[in-house]
Amino acid sequence: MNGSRWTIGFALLWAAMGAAQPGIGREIISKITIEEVLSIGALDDEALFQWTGVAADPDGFIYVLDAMDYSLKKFDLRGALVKKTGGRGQGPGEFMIPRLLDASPNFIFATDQNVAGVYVFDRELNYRKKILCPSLIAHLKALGDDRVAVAAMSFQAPGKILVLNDDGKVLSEIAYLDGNPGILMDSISFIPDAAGSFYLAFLFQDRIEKWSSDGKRVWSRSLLGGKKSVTKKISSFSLPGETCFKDIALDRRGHVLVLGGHLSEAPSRTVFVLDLQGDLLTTFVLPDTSHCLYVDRRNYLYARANDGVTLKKYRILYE
Amino acid sequence: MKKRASFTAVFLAILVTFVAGFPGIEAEAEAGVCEKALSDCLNDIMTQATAPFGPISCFIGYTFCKKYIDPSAAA
Repeated sequence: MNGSRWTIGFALLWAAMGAAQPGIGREIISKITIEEVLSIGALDDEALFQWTGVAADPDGFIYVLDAMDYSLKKFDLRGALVKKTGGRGQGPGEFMIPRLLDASPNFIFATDQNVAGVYVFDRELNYRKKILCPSLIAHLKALGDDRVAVAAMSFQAPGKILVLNDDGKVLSEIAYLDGNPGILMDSISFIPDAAGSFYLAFLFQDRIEKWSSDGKRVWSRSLLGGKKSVTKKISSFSLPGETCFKDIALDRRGHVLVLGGHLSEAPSRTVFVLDLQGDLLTTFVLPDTSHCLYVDRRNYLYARANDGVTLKKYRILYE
Repeated sequence: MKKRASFTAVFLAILVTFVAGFPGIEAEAEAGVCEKALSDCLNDIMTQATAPFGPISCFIGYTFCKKYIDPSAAA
């Protein structure tokens, strides 16, 4: 009797843990649709001009980097502008070419294309500090209030994700490149999970991968039938042209969402949905083209519309 | 409408401006815009003076341009 009570208790505890942690357990889904719940910015208003990065805090406030007016903007849950900071310049908290954005529970992390570091703002958009990075940053994700992961672009050591603390010290790295496939072929988007693993989407290769926190490849998948990006000669460099995957995100129910690029069926609109083992479950199509995909802590999906004038927020519906 | 006109006029100007301080490019959303911007960036005197960060910034700009631009404009 006592044994069966323990068994039932353990089963309930395991189920509760699974429910509380995204990604644990497998969910069978056959279809995903999205339903628009909020739209920020339109062609006839001044909310957004050409946004590049988006993130949301635990309370649902939305932060957006706007390249056209060199700013970081905060919007409330109804889409009203709460505050704006930044401005054109190279001083603390200013931007020349604002690019990437992410949020931890208490801080907002932003990059400028020409700055080898990550700007840190608090949730009131006060500039706090810069986390130094060994090189310029091609992708960024927050791992917590005091850690970030970056894809640092480098000619000397390509193909690495670096985990940095808030002093810029490299805590760990993942070297994800096989050999030397050519310049820019290491370009990735990535998303970490709660266990410290990373999911990678290659910009110019038909590859989606999962890497463990200790730097080992867990799985690798091809979703485009092995299509290859045609290379072009530009100023003596042979560079890939068409994109395979533009961004990657994790939803709160344990699915990997991958935004297809030029080589997907609906370019920059097809979203591939994989389970955490890398098996393709389904796809869905965004209403408009996007360069990025973001899922907040409440499982809302954010994407672009109107060539960057508009940010759309969607509810994800599972069947 | 004011925003649309403004947006059209400077569409991609900042996006394809890979080098800080580089004058805005009167870029149209046409085929090869990212390649053209990258070539201009790599050949810019400021880029060459700030190697290796300058060229790396150009390549990051190119990848971002490829992500950002609508496929019909980038084919």
